[in-house]
Amino acid sequence: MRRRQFLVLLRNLCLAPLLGSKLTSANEQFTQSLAELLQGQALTESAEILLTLPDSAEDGASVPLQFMANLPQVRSMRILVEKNPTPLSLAFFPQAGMRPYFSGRIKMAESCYVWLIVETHEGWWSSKRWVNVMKPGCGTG
Amino acid sequence: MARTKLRVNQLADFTELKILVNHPMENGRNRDHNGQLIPANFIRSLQVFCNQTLVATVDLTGSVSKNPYFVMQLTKVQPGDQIRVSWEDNLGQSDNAELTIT
Repeated sequence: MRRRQFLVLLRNLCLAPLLGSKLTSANEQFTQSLAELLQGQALTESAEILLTLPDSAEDGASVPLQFMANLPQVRSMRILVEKNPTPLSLAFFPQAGMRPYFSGRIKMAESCYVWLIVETHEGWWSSKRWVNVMKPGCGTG
Repeated sequence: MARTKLRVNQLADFTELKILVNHPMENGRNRDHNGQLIPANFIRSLQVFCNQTLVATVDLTGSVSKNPYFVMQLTKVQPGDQIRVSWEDNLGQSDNAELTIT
C-alpha cells in the first residue's frame, strides 16, 4: 500500500507539467476521485446494479438518470462523471425504509462514461454507461 | 415562498416520493453576461425523514442540474405517517417540506 501511494505520488509529479491539457486533467480528476473513494479496495463490475441513462443527451445541463441495486445492504450509491471537472456528482445513502433506487438529473461537460459505484457490506460494485452529449452543459461540473 | 415541493404516490410494493427544489445549483464556473463569475451556490446535503427517522441522505454537488427533481422509493409507509425533506446549501440557506400520507 505504501509503495503504491509512493508510485501514485511519483506519477502525479511526473504528470504535473502535462496537466495543462483539459483531457488529461479531467481523467486525472476522475482517477483520483475513484481512488479516494475506494482507499485501495477492489471494485468489481456487477450486473446487479443498474444505471439508466439516455445513449445521447440533447442538453448536457440536464441529463436524466436513474439507478438501482439488486443487492442486499446497500450503504451508498455514487455517480461519477468521468470528464466533469468535479467527477463525483452525487452520493445517495439509503437507510432502512428506503429502497436502493434513485432518479434525478445531472450536468455533463462532454460525452463520456458515467459510473455508478455502489458500496455494500460485501464490497464495491460498479456499472458504467457511455453518454453522447450534444450540447455541453456550460461551466458544468 | 415554497422552494421545496413533495408528492407521494402509493404503489403496490412501495411509495414513490417525488422531490422538487427550486434552486440555481451554480457550480461557480459559470459567468454572467458581464463576464463575472457567478459564485457557487448549490445544495450540499438533503435528508429524508419518515416519522422523525432518517431514511436517506443525499450529498449533492454543483454538477446536479438546477431545480433538482428526485424520485425515491420508500418502503413500509402507512397512512398517517409523516414524510419530511430538508436540505442545506453551501451558503447556509436551508428549507424543508412536510407531508402526511393519506
